[in-house]
Amino acid sequence: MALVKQAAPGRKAVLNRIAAALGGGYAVAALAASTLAVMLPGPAIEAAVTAHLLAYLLFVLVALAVFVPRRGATAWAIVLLPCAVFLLAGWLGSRG
Amino acid sequence: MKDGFRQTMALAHSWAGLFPGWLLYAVFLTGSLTYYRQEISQWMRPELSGAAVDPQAPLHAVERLRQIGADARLWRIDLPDARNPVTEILWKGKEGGFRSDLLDPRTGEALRARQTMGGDFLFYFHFDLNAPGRIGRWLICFAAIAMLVAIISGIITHRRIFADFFTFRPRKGQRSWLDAHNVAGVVALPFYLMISFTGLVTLTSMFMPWAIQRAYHGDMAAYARDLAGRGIAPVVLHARPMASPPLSSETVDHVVKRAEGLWRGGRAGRILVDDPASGHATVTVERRDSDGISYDLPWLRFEGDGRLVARHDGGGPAVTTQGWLYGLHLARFSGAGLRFLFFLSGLLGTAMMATGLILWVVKRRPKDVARARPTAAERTNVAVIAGLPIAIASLLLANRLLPFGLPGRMAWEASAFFLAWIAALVNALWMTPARAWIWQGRWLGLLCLAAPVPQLFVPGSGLFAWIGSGDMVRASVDMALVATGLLALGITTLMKARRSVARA
Repeated sequence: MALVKQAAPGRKAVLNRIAAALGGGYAVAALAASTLAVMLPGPAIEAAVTAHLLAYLLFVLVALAVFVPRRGATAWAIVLLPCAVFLLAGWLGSRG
Repeated sequence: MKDGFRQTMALAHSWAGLFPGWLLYAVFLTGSLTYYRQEISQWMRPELSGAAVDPQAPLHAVERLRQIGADARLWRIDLPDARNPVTEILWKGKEGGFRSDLLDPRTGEALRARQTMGGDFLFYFHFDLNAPGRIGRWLICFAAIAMLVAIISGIITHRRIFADFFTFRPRKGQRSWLDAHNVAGVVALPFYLMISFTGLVTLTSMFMPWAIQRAYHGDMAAYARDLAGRGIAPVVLHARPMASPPLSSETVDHVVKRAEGLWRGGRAGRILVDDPASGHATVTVERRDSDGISYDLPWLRFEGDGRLVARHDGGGPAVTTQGWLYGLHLARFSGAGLRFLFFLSGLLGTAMMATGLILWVVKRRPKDVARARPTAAERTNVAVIAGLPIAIASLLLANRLLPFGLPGRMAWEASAFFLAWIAALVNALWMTPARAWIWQGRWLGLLCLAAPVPQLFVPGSGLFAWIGSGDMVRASVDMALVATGLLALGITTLMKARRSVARA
């Protein structure tokens, strides 16, 4: 236990994190899967399977990471940033 | 930072753990039993005692299919093995629609067994919960993610993980439940990590289909073909002959033996015949799933005249990885010892969930016991933790008691499962939880002890006859039921005694 007692996170904050972990994590994973499936080299089957296996790992990572920051906004940034990156990559990929 | 993380995690774990806990308790318990799916299926079809593995099985199965499914578009033959000594045939009629039958491997005669889903009921419930639509599967997938997060964050933040492993303080109320929960959680930790991640992998095409959707433009069937290596254009060695006579059972038997020769010791598990009635039938022989860890099964395809036209020896690195993950979850490869370890690990997971759920309630109980009123969570705990085993025992007992030829017998067995569970829920709602635990513990014990009894009245069958004839599979299921029944009654008696002491 920490020597200086910190303010315990409230219920609302925890609910917020759970939503970010499950909903946000799913969004990151889905976008990652869809984007990586067309960006990865090799036959379609290898790309698709690699993409969804990596997506699962990302899901777990994001779901863990959103519990780390003190502020809820930072937690959502952890979700939205990769979403934006994958959307952008997917958009650029589909143009090329 | 770390303490904020610890606190948020601890809070998320402790009060958001309730709902996933109920869900995962059911998934773990039915999943653990699914390791013995074939054994439970055998127990639930006691008539099939004569069946045995036979090298002539493919020959007999094809002969049978030529009689009853001559104009079918597809035949599928699942060959018998040591754990499941019956041949299962399935054929797709001209107008679609599948029909299936169980055959005696030695004769090819249809086996007349009672209509039952056998162990498959628990297998499907394990990932589907028999819930409408796919809601059960979705909930389970999210619960699996929550579990992975809980396990990994637990490893990161739990400073006393090693010490806790050796800590058990019995008869201390809340503290004992906490210690039990920690021990059950830590003992099989690698198993929990493996099983929840690989469980997600098995449901990918439903829960995370976006890679497949994108790469295959929504054509899931094309993905399935590629995954099994069937989408890759076969090397056509010769031009197709004009037409050959309809497939003979000798040809199928011959190609099965050739396939097993080419695999050097691998055994054939499944035979698929496309267009058996036409002059250009193909026979695909799949290796048995218990011959290796990976579920990316090798196969060989032959023309009707016995020429090898295509083969699959395993996919690329990603497909192989997925095959291993999938195979690890199903554990078809495991021998008796490893299977038992998997089963024990699954039961420990079940215990981890149960102790966590009880701890949740005990921790929140007001200090003043006299004023404590039972909460909905406490009642639900009884209905889930005791109710589900009651439902399973009722399913097994119904399998013995429902008449052989009852129309819709399979559905009645499922109804027995759910009706018993509803009864447990009603009981938990109307009694105080302390009484309902004892009541339901006794019912569970009696149901488990009753399930082996009806078969004792069938001549040449039942526990003692099975031990006598060396049918250890069915005898073991019976003995496991008796042990579970005695355990449930024993625990209930202890609980009752301690309650009377506490009140005196």
